Amino acid sequence: MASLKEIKNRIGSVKNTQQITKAMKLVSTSKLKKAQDNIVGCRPYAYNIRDLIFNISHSRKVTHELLEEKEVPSDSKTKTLYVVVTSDRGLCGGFNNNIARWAEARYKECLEKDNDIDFYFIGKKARDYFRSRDLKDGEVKLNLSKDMSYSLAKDVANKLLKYFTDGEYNEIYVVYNEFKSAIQQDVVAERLLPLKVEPNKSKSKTELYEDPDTIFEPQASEIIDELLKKHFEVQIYRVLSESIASEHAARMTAMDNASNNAKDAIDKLTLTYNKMRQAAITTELIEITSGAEALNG
Amino acid sequence: MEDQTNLKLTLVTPYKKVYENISVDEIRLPSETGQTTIFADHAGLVSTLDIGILSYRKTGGNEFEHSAISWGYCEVNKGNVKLLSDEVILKDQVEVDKEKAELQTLKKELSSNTLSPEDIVLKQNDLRFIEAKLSLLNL
Repeated sequence: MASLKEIKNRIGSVKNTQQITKAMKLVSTSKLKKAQDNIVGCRPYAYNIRDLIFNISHSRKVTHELLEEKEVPSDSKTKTLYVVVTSDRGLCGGFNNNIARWAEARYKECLEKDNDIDFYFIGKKARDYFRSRDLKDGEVKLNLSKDMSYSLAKDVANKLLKYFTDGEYNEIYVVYNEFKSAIQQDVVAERLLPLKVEPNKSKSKTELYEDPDTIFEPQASEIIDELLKKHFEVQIYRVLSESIASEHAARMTAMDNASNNAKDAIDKLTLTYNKMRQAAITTELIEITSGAEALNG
Repeated sequence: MEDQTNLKLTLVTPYKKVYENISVDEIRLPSETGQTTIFADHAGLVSTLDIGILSYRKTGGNEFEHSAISWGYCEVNKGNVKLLSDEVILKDQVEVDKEKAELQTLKKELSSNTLSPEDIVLKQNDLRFIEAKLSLLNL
């Protein structure tokens, strides 16, 4: 049985932990707000570009290498690149593990089918997971949430585009935590390349582009080349923003749970502490009274 | 009937909407093929924009508002002018000292002859954007 002093020390240490988890929760809450604004802020831009590409490519019948499915000869292997987006830091519940496990399952599946698969890790955690299990190493990009900006997304996008246009990979996928709400994040795998452009159904307006008098400067095929690259950058930016928002949301929930657990633990320990203290007092009183009784007797 | 004599300007960046549906009389754009001025009843236009200064004059006003834009794209459709740009800097957002310092380092790097051709293009674009930002102050 632990002594009174030991229990008191434990209460103290749990309280300290609780303070840290509470602080981390508050930090995540404020960062989440910023990350959410980021997602909302980039939506109008992303939607506009997507509609535009769709409209031009349909009305002007323009095709582009980024839009075309690459045919794989049946005797050769397909080569796929998975961009795995996690965080650099832990303490955010299942956020990183869900992604890492998903990627591991996909890796094993590909090995069975004898297809080539490579990984590009954004964030430290997935890379560590793959390394510690001796699965596969890959390129890694760190400090995402600290350096997040459009130009960072642009760098990543350019690198991926180059891999694709050089023919190193037939397809590029991304795996990340999609931000549904502050309490729900889902693991999502999307194909990045070749691009699939679908219009925003509510407000498609192809008339402008079907009008033969519309001026294109430079030509439609050149515009679409630039726009597709932009679109790809925006996609990457959106994915990264979603992942960051999800990370903060996941950490917020995890830290909230931890704070509550700490509170329960403190309550239990305090109860034991009080019981033990009372027992000690009672024992002492009994000793005194029985001693006095013995003298009087 | 839609009011055809009015131009509506919307400018969006990946971070936020800078302008949304402001009524303007005149817009000057740095398009890829040179300066373009848009008045009401302009023909449909889809164009890419160059680094430079974007100016617009509000309906009934005489003064131009200016901002510096990096790469962008513009769509004119029945009086609606939609601009997308990577970065937009308004006049009061220019950090003069920082930009001037960056300008110096860029010039030094460009004159050092150690850059690859792709880097030179990128750095030159940065340089032009900084110059555009600085020239905002004189407008």
